[in-house]
Amino acid sequence: MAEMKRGANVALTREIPGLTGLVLGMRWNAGAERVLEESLVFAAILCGEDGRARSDQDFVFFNQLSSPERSVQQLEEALGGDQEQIEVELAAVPPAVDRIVVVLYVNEIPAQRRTLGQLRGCVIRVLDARDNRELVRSEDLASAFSAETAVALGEVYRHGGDWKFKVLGQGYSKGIAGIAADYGIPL
Amino acid sequence: MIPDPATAPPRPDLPFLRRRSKPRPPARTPAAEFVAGRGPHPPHAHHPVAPPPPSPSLDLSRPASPSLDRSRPAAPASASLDLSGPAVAAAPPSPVAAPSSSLDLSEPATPTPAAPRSGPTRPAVPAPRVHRDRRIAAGQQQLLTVTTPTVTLTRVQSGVGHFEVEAVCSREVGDLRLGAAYQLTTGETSTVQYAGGERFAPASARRPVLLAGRDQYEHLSIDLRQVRRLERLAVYAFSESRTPLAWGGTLVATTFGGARIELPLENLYEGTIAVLMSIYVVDGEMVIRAEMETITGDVREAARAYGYDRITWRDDRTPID
Repeated sequence: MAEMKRGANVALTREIPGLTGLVLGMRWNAGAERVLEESLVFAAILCGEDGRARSDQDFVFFNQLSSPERSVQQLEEALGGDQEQIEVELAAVPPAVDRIVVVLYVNEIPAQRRTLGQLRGCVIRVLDARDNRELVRSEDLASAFSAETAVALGEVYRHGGDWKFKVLGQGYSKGIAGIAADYGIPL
Repeated sequence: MIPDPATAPPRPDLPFLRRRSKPRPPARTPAAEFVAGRGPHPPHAHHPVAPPPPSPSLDLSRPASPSLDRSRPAAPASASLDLSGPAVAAAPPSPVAAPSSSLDLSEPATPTPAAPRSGPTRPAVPAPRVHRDRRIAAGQQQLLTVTTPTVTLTRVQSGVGHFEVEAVCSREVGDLRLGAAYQLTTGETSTVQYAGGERFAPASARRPVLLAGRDQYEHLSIDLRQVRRLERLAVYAFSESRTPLAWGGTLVATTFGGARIELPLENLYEGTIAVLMSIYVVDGEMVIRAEMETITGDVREAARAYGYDRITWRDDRTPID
């Protein structure tokens, strides 16, 4: 199975003609850190051409399980192997959306400080939504984390007429606040 | 561990599992929609039926009947929801099933082969928000008053980080203490308060939904990662020594993005306890409402006055957890 390094990209729809939908699967290993595990949030951000969300409704996560036109949806319970899954129906993504960035963050509350550095494993996978076949997976991103509390894992983006996927692995020490500032999510 | 779907036996009896592998139904008849739990009971031409209660899966966010009624200019604008007999009888004959076209809001009457349609119909425009309440943006400040008592947070504001409620008061007010009666979606209900009560909600939780604390002032925190477990809470302030408070200061609620919702406390009637603010989670959105009501009695009466009537009490201030 292809394992992608940080920064690597793959032309999904060109390599796999007929690909209509993706599943972005998140696998982590928090070991015995139950509080960390329960604080983790997997989310997707629909970004316009400027790389920023157009409104708060472009942030898909556990409390907003779908984008308004339902092209990007989070499953309340992942199907098979992943802790979390987000489904993307490519044809339904609005033309104004240029990329879909998936992120993982620790929901911070004052008394319980946890970081992604405590993770033992962190892999983002891309599956074919038709048959749940794994297309690509990232390398284990956890080894590079230390004090980060959020990470932009990867992005699905338009390139010409195709959709590509790129592994980002970009960590944020300011957590979801840092991601919100970079991607224009109104908190 | 959930078995891998590639090897797991199929479960066609569980409709929520079918999304990814579900074959597309050849035609959507009202009967099929009804059996699948997506639509109302199909009416009979002979038996006019009353309009059904709105079903959550009926896509009412679309403009009213975009494609159903245009072929019938004589039909009234409301015909797409009018399930009474005459409207059904007036439906044009269709190759599938005649009564279906006037009911099925999720599919155009004339299928367009060019548009690949897999999955539920998507609204052309973003669905309108459920609430039309006042909103607040990061960094803003809003005062809740008698004329504008509520502000509604977005689902993002209601689900990211933590939400803080703090009683900013000087000593002149008296020994003001803060607490909240709460109810979770599981039905668990009790109070949380720093002074003489449970500091965590639920009391025995490893990771509490609500947390009462004291730094410079008394405050309550909501862990928004768990907002989907929260149904409602009512924030109250009371005098620990049961002597009437000289109400003053401000209740300040702060979102994770730094927006401040403020509630001045000067105008409360004299008393030893008052319910200041209620928070309801409605469709994932937190509705913050100023209550500002002095209560005769103690925490027990305040909780009962706001409908937290399933809390059981050891005395007028201490619930049994």
